Amino acid sequence: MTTKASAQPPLRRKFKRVWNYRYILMMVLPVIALLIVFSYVPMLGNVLAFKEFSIRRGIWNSDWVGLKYFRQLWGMPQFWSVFSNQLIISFMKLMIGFPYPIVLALLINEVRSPKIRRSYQTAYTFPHFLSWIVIAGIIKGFLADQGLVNQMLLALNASKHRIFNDGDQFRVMLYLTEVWKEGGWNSILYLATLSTINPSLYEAAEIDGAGRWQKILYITWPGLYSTAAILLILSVGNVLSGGFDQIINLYNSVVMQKADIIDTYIYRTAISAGSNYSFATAVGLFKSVINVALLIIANTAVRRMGQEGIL
Amino acid sequence: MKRLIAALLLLAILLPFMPAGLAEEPTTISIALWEVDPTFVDANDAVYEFLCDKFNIRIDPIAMTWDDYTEKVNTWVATDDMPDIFNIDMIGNNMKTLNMWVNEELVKPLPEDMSAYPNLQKILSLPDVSMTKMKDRFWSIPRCKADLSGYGWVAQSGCYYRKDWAEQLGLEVPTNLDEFIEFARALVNGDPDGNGVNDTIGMTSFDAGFLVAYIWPAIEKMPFGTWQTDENGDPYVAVNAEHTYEAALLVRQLYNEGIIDPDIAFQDTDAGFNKFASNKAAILPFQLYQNDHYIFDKFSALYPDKKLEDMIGYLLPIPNKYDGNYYYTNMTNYWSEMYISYKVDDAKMEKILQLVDYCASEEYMDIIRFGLEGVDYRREGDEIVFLTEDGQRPNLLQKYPFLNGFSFLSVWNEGQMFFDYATNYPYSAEIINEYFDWVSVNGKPKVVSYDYTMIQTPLRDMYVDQAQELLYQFMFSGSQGDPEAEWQELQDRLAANGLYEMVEEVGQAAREARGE
Amino acid sequence: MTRKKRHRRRLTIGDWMIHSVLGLLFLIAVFPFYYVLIVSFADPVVYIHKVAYILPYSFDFQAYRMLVEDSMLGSSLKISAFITVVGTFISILLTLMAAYGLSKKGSPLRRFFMTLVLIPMFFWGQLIPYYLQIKSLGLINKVWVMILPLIVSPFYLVILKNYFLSIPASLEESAKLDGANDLRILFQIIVPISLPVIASITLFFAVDKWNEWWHAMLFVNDQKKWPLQMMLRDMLSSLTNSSISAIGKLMASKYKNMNPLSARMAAIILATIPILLVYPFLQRYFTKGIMIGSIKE
Repeated sequence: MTTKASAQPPLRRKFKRVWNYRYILMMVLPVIALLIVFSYVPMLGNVLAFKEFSIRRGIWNSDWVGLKYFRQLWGMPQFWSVFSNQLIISFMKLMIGFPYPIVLALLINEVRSPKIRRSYQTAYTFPHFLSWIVIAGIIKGFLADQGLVNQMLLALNASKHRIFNDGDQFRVMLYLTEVWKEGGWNSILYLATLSTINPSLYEAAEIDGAGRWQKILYITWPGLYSTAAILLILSVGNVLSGGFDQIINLYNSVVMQKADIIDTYIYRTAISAGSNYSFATAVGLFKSVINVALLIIANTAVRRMGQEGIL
Repeated sequence: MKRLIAALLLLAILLPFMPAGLAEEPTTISIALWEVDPTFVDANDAVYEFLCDKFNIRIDPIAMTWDDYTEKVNTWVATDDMPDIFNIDMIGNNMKTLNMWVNEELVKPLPEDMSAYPNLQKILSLPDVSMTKMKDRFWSIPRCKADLSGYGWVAQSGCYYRKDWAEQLGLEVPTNLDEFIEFARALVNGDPDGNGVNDTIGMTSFDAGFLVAYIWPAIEKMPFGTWQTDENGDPYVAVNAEHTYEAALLVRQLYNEGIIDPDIAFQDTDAGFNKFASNKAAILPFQLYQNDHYIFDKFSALYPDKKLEDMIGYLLPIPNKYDGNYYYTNMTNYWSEMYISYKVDDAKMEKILQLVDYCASEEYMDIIRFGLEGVDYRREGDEIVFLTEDGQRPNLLQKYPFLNGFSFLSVWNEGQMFFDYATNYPYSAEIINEYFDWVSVNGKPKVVSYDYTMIQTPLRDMYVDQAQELLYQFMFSGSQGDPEAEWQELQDRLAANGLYEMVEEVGQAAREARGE
Repeated sequence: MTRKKRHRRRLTIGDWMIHSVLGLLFLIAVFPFYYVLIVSFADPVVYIHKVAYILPYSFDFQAYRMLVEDSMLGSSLKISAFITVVGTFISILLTLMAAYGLSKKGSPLRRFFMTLVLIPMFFWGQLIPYYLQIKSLGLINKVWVMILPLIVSPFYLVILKNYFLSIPASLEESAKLDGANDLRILFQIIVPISLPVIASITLFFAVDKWNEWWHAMLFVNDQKKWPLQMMLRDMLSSLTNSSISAIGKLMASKYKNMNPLSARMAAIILATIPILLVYPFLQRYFTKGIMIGSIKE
């Protein structure tokens, strides 16, 4: 077989391979086709970031202006401050929000009754369905100066807490509420992965006298490892992308120094940037490049630890 | 040959009697206006039918909401996909893009001779509207208020308070700034709701803007965030006006003292009204009209056995401590503009202008207020007599859905649609009337200049305006630090943002525009 | 095969600790939704007076009446159902196939295709090029504009592909020896043992499509084609801006002292209940997958 294969000309070999894998290729092609049509073709329009958009001339015939809009972005007064805010807030959210769904999944997995397990799992996903407008309203209502939390503090003779006047406390509130909202939803995947672990492994471990924690450490956790690695990499790659809805609904002028991120800053200060498409595209490209760089770093780190990366 | 001529003659004689199908096709006009939807143009709607017949048109409504209209309109224009008519507030907000629209002729300018459209001509000749000309032509129709008497702006600077509490505590209505502060203090410390807890909030509002706007003119007559021209003909911004620091300092002190609602800078817009209605807040600076939903409905529902006149009072503007004038809010006659797509040909343009002109006329206002003459009402001298069974005004919005969406096609007339001053409560209308009568005679409009609204310069395009953000930080952070140092920080920050270079450049451009 | 004895082990301290933590988290997680529910039928007058409205103090369903009275709500529900069902079906089918295809290490151009899939996760066309492309495809104002562009999700695809990578190759090899082709292997062998993960991703797709309104806002002008979320968003926008909005004033005048907050809450309840009904259907797949021998290690 080997002799025969190497005796064939390379092109023939390639075709043979494609033919062998024809079903596989057919399975992949629809997705690729859709991506080309709906993602890649519009993506070409990112050249707008380097052009002075003229509606009459269209994207392709507009003038080149090089890095003009990037420089405008970097030159905005608070740019570096909001950029670092976004990095800090996203990383802190990652630190708290990444382990939480895993721990939650592990805990739920320990519940023996399937019915209770399912109710817990369902209930934890509820906040995911509510938009930040609603949750922000609830939070503001409860943490307001005359809201429930402060009322209770007063009743306990403690002093009022003004989260909305203090940037650092505000940030902590951001992390915690993000986890509150998405933690349960994010645990679905982990729970699903956990349920594919062969139960006989647990039985065998039980017979060997393993305690609860040993089972988690040697059976459950390794089962989650690869899923967790992938989600970690993907989350790192989204560091500069998210957070707008949460912050725009919760922040105010006083905490702006610490809570402003790139998207909220631009939204607020350059509303006309909404129609300045070159500028908006430049911002998008900038964020994408940083995200990809961070993603590659995370991917490499995960590969070093022996797991599959995303490629 | 003879037969041919005979046939042609016959045709010529018969042509006037031909069925309508051979007449000109109606022109379809697509209109993007806030909150219109296809159900508003129903063939069974008599008002819509009336307009269609009058101008031989059909209307195709394009939906856009208050939340997404900016994005939508800009996208349409940028992708060359705009409706015939679209409305958006570009002037003063987005001059860079508007200039591009004008330079690339993406919108159609109005004809230079507008005499065929008397109502529009009247609007276009208003002083602030005529300033919106670009390159000597009008590229849009600024959307003005139907009622140009100005009551709307005057009533913008109002302030409600709990009359019953003031009486209970034996307080006199304040006549100047110091008295006002004492008044607010007394209400805060006097526990007027009698619940034994010192939790009464002095002042709250829809948002911090309204609240600050009430106190500000008592010290500095130039509203924050506006422009003015100095005696040399150069522009300057409000942050550099004479008494701006003092005004900001006062608000900060009141906030730190607890007279201003601690949550003012971040509560939901409804929260202030709820506090006012539920015995938690004493003073509510806010516009005086269209408040049924915010104030009067709540009060009449919560206290059915008490009279509104006893509970709610209003305060006059606080006189400026330096020149004694009573300043009220002053704005342009227009907000947002109507644009016409460049793709519209001259014939269609004529139809559009006819339609828009009609919808700005008194006749159309009458339709909105009373319905169709002869069908819904009839005039008897100066009186309007409704032809309904009970003689009351019929529910025109239900009868003619077209009016739901298109009553404000050309001009803003929210008041007229429903009832006088847009309120169900005679007391509310009474307040507005009294206030207007007094303030329009004794008051002066706030000092603002619109000379710089249309000016666009490179620095202005790139300028990031943080003035309001920094001001709110100064006033509402609850900081006990040295206010002078913080104010200096604010000034330094604005300077570092390039404020002064920008202002100077605008001044230059303005001089050039004036031909100096 | 060991038979599991159905005995009830006494609950240990560990169990108690876990239950109390989970129970607390349960309350915290359920609270916002509960709050939304009780405010949605709260009497506006009672609501204003309460410092903290945390118990159902009153019942007033005018918000629901107002929303349901609008006849467009029914048609938007149908549109949403169509988009969600059709969209999820196509998405999961294509994603399954592509994820499996990309997990076969020997397949040609694998790295290339994988990169092709990853790039759109980070770089995407901004609004104008996207709009122009949609326009040139003739999708403006068509229902399919809310389905087709949203079929592929690189994120979910990567997750699924990675999951498939963890399935031992021995399974497929034995099937290949029996003469099965790749498609049969995928659907008859791989899928049954991957049900929990596939069910999760189906749920993700379904919820995403149910919640989508942006494409409707930008590309669909005909309100008869609006999905539920867009319709509700439109209504809420009118209500919130009721001082300037004609419809808002109309609604406010008909429903005298309606609290716009209640209306918003009622809208959320109406919009979320249908998708929550999908849960029970998918729940059963979340339980242990079917194991063939002792495959997973």
